[in-house]
Amino acid sequence: MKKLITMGMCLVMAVTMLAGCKVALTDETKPEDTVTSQPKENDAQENENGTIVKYGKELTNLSLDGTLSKQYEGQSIVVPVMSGDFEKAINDVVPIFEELTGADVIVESVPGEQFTDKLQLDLNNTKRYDIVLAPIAFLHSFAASQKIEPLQPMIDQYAGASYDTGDFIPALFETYGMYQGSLYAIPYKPDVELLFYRKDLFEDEAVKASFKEKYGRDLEVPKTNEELMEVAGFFTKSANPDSPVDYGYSTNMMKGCTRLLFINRGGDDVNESLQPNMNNQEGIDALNRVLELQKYAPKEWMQMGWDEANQFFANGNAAMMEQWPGLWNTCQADGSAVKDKIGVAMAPGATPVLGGWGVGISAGSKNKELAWKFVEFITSKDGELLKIENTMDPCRTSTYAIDEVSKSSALYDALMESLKYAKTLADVDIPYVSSKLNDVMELHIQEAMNGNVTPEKALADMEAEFQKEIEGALQ
Amino acid sequence: MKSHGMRAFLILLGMTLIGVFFFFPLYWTFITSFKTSSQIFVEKPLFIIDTLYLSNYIEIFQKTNVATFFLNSVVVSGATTVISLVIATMAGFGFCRYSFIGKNALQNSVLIVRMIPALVYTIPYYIIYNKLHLLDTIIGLILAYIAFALPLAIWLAINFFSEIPKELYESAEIDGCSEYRIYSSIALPLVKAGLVVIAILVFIGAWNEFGLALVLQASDAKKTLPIGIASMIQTHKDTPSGSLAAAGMLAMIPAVILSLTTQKYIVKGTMAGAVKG
Repeated sequence: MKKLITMGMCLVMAVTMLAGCKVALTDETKPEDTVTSQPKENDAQENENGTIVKYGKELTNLSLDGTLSKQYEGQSIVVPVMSGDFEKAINDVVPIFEELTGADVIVESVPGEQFTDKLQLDLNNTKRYDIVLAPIAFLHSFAASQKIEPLQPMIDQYAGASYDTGDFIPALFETYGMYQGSLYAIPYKPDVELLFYRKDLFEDEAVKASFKEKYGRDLEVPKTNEELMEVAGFFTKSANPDSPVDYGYSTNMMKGCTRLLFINRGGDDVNESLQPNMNNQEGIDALNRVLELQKYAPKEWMQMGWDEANQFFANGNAAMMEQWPGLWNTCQADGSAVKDKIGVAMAPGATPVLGGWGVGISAGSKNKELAWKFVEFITSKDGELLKIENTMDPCRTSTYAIDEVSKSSALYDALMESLKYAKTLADVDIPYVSSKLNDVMELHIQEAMNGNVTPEKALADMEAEFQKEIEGALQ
Repeated sequence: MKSHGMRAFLILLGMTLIGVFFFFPLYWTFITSFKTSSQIFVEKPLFIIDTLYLSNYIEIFQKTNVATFFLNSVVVSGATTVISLVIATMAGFGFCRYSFIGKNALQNSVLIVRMIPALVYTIPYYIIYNKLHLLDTIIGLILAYIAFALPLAIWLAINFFSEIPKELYESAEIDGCSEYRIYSSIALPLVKAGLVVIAILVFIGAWNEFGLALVLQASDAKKTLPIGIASMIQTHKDTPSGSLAAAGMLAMIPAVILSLTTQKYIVKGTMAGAVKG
């Protein structure tokens, strides 16, 4: 009886609470897809010949110069992908590939945070996976440990006649694909940190006049680090009480992001000989710029992760933010205070940090020929057009030359320009100890930012630890 | 009288604060699951909402295989619980009822499995399962979970069976009961409350398990709910907090049902052995 009374009271409370609320099936203000790609969707159409048309281009060579003609019937490959956009991009093309080859493609998705762990587990042990679609620094580590296959022999032996590696953006092909003189991966998804800025503020006449009065020059989107400091100072209330926003600059600083800020400001980690390359004048200048930028950034920025920092910017609290392209969606979401008010440019200083993914073949693959045909298919000129709307931006120059592609995203101009200059990877490019060295950099940069050590001391300590770790790893 | 009232008030206040501390995350998840994305990331958090948007629930069913993940979790956790209960009760009964050489060593060795972190087993499991073609199978995951659940389940079962007076077994023997009959008709009904506690612990353990399922399962058709929920988070993308909260609410359903339906057994079971004589 007592139990019944209690449950009844709970029910009455719940009903009372819910009765005060309206119930709506859908959020009418919500965009169609919260994880939409930056490019506008371009649904595949078929023309009268049954040829797929994407971005106004007929995909007439999906059969890779006739090298796919159901000859792989009965064969299969396993493709591990990170869940989300990568999964969608691969799943979209698999039916077409299966139709052309007769083969089975088994797509296995893994949650993002655990993706590389599971990939390594398989490459080191069971070797079930045939395709390796991974961030660049990981691909380089896999190449160093011979877990992935050199691709040039594959191209020579199996590629269709028109498979053109010279068409990839040179910096991407070189940085993503090559490791110690050999080709191990084909670029799949370019990624670079960009400068997002409040277009409405930079175009506001009163703001422009105020800037000119103060600095004697026109207000422009900063291209150099010096301009960045000046503009960030101008838009920071503590430095300029007339600023229309609280802060001039923001970025997310958790999970290894101080390292990215250091690179964006001109710092480096290792050189081509895999030796530490941060304890020099460029490094000291870069770290000093990071320290100066602190004055114009939110006080709580060291605690800001991806979501918090993006929302801070989308709420209109800062004039500029450096971030990966994914910020665009946050800014353009309904409810964002900066919707349609954002411009995108290359990170000031022209040393943007480079991310990105490439695709290779597991050395343990039992079906390397079919695996190569899959890699060739998804990275071919026609194949590239099938992945774009799932946020997999193109890697080929000819793809960006397609008018409908270049117009499909507001980010592409800045992305293309940034890719010309970006060379330092988001993860330290040393096999086996990449994550450890990321942490080392992070620790010492934060030491300097907290005022515990001078920039010179932080970089000297960083260099010493790098040397020790690199020696251990490369022995 | 006055001080007694004050004491009661302070206790009530303390319990209320503790209650708020524990229930607030649940409440927050609940209302977040009904918020729009623009209501979630705001500078001043919304503690009360006037409209319950169901879009997050609709979205997780439309855009993910959450129904499949949920069903897989129910099957895996349910099977793990039932099979573990059968094995653990038989083992526990055996350890209590019989004396044999090496009994203590065997009993303690069961616990050793529990002392090694589960992560250590993960890679060997992956390799062995690959050879046995058990990767990405529901049965494979159930077997692994049973192996992990048994040590605790057996030890709890031993504890519960040891509460039964030996005289009962002796009476049953005199009346001609077989050993199986003693186990099934006399011992098991007497430890019913204990069985519920074991079942809940095993079920919740299997329901929430992440590491092994991550490694052993691959296709969406065989994934469990924790893996499905983790798959909603992407790197370099905003966290879909509303969808995660909605999926979290779904994931809580079994725990809520279990706690509401088995409350009296839990109290009895956890109290078992507290008073002797």
